[in-house]
Amino acid sequence: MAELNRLNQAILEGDAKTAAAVTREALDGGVDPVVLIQKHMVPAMDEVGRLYEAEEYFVPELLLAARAMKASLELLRPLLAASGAEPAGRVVIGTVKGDLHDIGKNLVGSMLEGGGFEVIDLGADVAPDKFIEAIQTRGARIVCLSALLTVTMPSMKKTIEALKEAGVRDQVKVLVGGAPVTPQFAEEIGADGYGETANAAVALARRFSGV
Amino acid sequence: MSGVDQGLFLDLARRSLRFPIAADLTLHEQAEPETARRDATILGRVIAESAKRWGCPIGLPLMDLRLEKADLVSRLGLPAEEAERFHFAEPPPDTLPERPFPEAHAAAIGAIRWVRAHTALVPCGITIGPFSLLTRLLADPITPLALLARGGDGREDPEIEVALRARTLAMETVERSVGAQLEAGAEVIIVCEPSASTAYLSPRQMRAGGGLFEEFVLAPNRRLRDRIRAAGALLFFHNCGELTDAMVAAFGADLHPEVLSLGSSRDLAADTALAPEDVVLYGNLPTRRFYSDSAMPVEEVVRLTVDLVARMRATGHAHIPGSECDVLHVEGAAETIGVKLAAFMKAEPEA
Repeated sequence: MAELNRLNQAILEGDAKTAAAVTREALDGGVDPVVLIQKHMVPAMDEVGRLYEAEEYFVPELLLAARAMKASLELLRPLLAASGAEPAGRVVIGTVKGDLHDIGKNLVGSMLEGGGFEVIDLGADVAPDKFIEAIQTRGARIVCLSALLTVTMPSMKKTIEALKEAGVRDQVKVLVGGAPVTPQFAEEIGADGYGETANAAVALARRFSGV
Repeated sequence: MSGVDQGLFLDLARRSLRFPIAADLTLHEQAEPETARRDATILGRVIAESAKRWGCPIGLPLMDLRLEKADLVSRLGLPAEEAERFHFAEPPPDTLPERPFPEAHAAAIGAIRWVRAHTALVPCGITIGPFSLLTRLLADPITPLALLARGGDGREDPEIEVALRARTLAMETVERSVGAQLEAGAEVIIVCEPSASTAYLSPRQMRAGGGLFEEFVLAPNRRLRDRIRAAGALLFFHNCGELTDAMVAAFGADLHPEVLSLGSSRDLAADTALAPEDVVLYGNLPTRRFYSDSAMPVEEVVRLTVDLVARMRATGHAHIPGSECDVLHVEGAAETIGVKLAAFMKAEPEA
């Protein structure tokens, strides 16, 4: 266990090389991938989120931790797929049409992955039909919409309206976030939740998934 | 050499002027905003109309921070329309060929000439800052910076090598833009560095030393300031990102711009302790939320304005009340934004 704690530490320190090396050693030693995720990676990312909320960590530390976590996760994914292990939930995320900013979206995506979710990242400037396609073909049950600009916020509303028109709105929970977005705006456009921070988004996603 | 008075902004603050940066609203009142954006004369008229509307003696331009990247991408031989999606995937060339500015950039420069020739306004240019441009040239700008802060170098990590070479091109591109705007007659240059914030530069990294903030933010902006001052123009330094006190103090005392414009996350009254007395503070009403009546009712705009004006007056520090960034047109919300800006212009503390 002491050796495996190096994985928590590597994620906390954003050390991708060490995270991958410890993961490889653990797998070689027969450690269950699910144990690595649930006992080490998820708690480490939760701690990263806590440190961010406490303003001890900032965006760069968060992204480096996520990068370390991903380096480890890359090694685990094939094994998880082979074993049929299910993620905490399936989330599709993107910055809405017209908006090319992706730092906030990347942060939320990384924290969701760190929280055990499977994240389908559609990138930035995403048209509504791409979200619909991800819901219909990949089984996403949570939709995360990001916008940094006031001028692109109407795209959030248009995306939610498009989900309704496509008949998939009731299949998913829609979370919105981004610098100009407010809880009031989220309510006005018919979103199910508003995440002020990446951590808040993860907490909401967990609640919606019953995790 | 420009003849602008170095005390221009101190004088405006003494006269209790206030104004938002809001040319985008006027632009969207035009029949074809996107056409207007590419026409120097129409753009000049938009700037003049905005200045008249808000009683501002400066020809504040559109805050279009896409122009310099579009210019750089165009000089790489790619269509300017691809600029926003472009990122360097491998180390860029050391130099770029000279080419004419793309249409929208040329129009912005032409609008400065138009303002100078046809109005009594102080002609004003604008550019994205070199660091912020760098962050837009990389798909992931945070990782190489963090690796550099930990002592990495370009020989070990290709991401760092790309970042270092892109930095050189970013600086050259910004200098080219500023040079053309000064040549066109700009007497004030707004340098926008929103990425020089805790989103890209962690205070933990700064506390640990390593000089990333100095090397990537302060040094290039000092060079830019010196170029602007050498032309007799004034520096209006804008950063609406999340900042630490140390960052604000460095922008105030080290860069020492004529104006320091900050976002609504800052307590401007407290920041007077961080900025030299002759640095005019500009801002910082939360104008990004003016689009929403539920998030920001007009009564709240009045309350915030009155509070800001009263607190800043109490400090005695030179201050021009204004927006936290440019006030952008939001589809379907033009009227409510206009009502709130009008309320901001009038709200006064009780005598």
